[in-house]
Amino acid sequence: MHNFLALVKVNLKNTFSMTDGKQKKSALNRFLPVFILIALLPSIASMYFLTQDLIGILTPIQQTGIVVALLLMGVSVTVFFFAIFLVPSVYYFSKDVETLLALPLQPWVIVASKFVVTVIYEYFTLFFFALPVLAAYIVKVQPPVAFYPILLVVLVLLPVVPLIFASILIMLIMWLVPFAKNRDFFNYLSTFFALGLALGINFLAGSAATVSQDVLIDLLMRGNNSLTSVFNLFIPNIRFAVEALVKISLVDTLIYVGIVILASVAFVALAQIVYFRGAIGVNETSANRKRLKGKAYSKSTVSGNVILTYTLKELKLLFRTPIYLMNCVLSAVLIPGIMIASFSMQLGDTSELQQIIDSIPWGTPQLSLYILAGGAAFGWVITSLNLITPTAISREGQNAYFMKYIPMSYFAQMSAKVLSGMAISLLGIVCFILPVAWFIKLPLNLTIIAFAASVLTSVFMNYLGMIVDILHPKLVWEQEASAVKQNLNAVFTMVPAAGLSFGIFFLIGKLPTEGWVSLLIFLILIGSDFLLVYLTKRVAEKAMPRMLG
Amino acid sequence: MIQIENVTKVYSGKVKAVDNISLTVQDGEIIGFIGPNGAGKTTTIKMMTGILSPDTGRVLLNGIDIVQQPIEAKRQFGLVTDNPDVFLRLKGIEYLNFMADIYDVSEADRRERIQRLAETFEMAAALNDKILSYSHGMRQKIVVMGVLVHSPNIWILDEPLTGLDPQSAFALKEMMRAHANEGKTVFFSTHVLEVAEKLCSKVAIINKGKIFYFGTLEDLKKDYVDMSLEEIFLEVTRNA
Repeated sequence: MHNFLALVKVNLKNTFSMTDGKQKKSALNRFLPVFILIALLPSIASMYFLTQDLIGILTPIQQTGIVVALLLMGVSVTVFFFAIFLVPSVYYFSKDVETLLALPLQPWVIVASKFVVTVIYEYFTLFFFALPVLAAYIVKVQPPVAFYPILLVVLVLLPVVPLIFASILIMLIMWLVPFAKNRDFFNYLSTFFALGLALGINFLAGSAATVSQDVLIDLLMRGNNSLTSVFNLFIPNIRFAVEALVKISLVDTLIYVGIVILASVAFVALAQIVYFRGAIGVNETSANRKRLKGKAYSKSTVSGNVILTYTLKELKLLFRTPIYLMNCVLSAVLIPGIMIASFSMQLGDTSELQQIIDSIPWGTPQLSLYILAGGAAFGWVITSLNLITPTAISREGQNAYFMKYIPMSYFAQMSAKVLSGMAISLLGIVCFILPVAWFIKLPLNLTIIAFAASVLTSVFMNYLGMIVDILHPKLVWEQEASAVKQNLNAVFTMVPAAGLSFGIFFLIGKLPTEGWVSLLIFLILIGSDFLLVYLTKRVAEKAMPRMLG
Repeated sequence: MIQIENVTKVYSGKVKAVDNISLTVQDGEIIGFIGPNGAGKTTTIKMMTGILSPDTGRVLLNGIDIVQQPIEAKRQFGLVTDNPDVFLRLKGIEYLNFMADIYDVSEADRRERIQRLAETFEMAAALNDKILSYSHGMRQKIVVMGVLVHSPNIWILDEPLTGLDPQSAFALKEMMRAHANEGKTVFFSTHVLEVAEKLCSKVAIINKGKIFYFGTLEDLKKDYVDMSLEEIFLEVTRNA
């Protein structure tokens, strides 16, 4: 037990104090929490008001318990989803594992200490989801005083069971699947598993909305929170948590806690048996050790333009690092893909829709303005989602000094990094605009307008991301995941992206619908791109020499 | 030629990592940069290569100021850093070709050099694998090869022999000698005094950010009769 507590302490320190050891905090860092709160405020507020509306609908039919059930289930599924990625890197592939394996520690001590850190991580997810929903629930339903201690117990223990599920699943895979010990292979596997899960949930949600409508109505009619019984399939203790909170039941609270304790004991016992079998012999990647000869050698040593070579290097690293592939490349391509797929799935009978599409007056100047705005907004949003340029320097980590001693100007290096971002943005734009244009029978000239606008705004957003990362790179990290997933630079591009997208539609609503307006908007977009390129050059020249200094 | 003139570096406004050092390395010299941990070796090398800017003083590489004309100055040297974990997801051959492109090496030259270096360092069979799959020593070798592929005039090496097997260490030392014999410059930091003794035309001993000795080992030994190099080093740094 002493070892366990010591290890938890070290892990917590190591995980939550990842600074570069500098004493001085920049102004940006000091105001970061405030900025993040402001950035998240719209989402938090909309969740709050949405919950209030939902409770307003559910109160007359005595189904307010659904809100609690949805919240607990939503948090549990999210925790499980994130844990699929988090558990392998924390339990098996983190840098400290080799050191820990050599220490005289029981397997359960290592796993349980890492589990505690992971649970604490998950509290952040929980906090974001739970706070606005619970605030709305408390304001609207006004539960009795006994609700609050039960709520505390429920929330503290909520991430435990889904995390145990994910941990057991990963431990079994690491033990039993022969290829799993190759880190790259495992990351690709979990990436596609999570994507499959996301698509599956999307599909199930779509089908549930249509297939089980009768069942839902029946449950609603029965009243007294009977609908909450639908949500107990996935995590067994959730139903008791819901009952405990809705009916203020001590017995259900105790059963809920009991299940958590039982699951934890079973998990620790299993970890004791299987953890070492999975953790020993983990490797990073595979190798052939095959000599390059003849044409293959010549092909590998072809010379190229410096900026293109640098761009290619960036793209290779993005595609070959599973975490980057998932967060920077696939997100940009798959999000439009999923949007189109779920949109077309929900359409069902298209004959009516075809009539609507056929009746759209494409020739009107107002519509072309909105197409332009739509294209521009898509360029901003899709680029802000791919996270490539806001993490371009952060991803270099402690190797960022390489950028400082090679004979290549900082601006040239930044341009290469922006080019890699542009390549992925373009892929996302093409994957979305072309199918949508084909589907809604958008005339060629309007397709070109939408495409050109999205390319221009994507250039803007890529350079903006680059500036943010030059000014605020996250260079101290242990796992590649931290460089992209725990990097707040993304917020600095996502917030302006959302603001600009709303702004352009607002602006168009106020402007006259004449041809010169489109031209003016294009000129503004081009001008802002040039401005950002210029700013990137200035910022790079000023800030890069000071980086790592 | 390397000229370090009155260079100072202060971290966080308090810690003087390098304190007003000056030294000139002539063409054809191999300089061993010796000092205990935290003496200021790596900080000096970082200032020589543009990774850090000096607070005062200047560094000239073949007469070119690293702060005033950074790109031109960076073309003069090749740097082997103390951390060989770079671009781990590139294949060895991709890394070498990338470096060759950055330094504008012709296709014919890069092909000949990569082949020769791969044989010398016994890396031919590993070039088509990702650097991630390499051992520490192999990573060190690929980084050294990445420098040698563009054949720089000045070699700056931070602990270059760490992790190398005896054959590769021997080969690298021979290359350093040959490079100096061609009238070019080698500047390397090391903790291994025997290497410095056998290889260097001069040594610079640094401690607490100050240079305490710069000259030939023969001259140094004259001041400390009947003492081994190790004892001399301990004596010099103790009195620092």
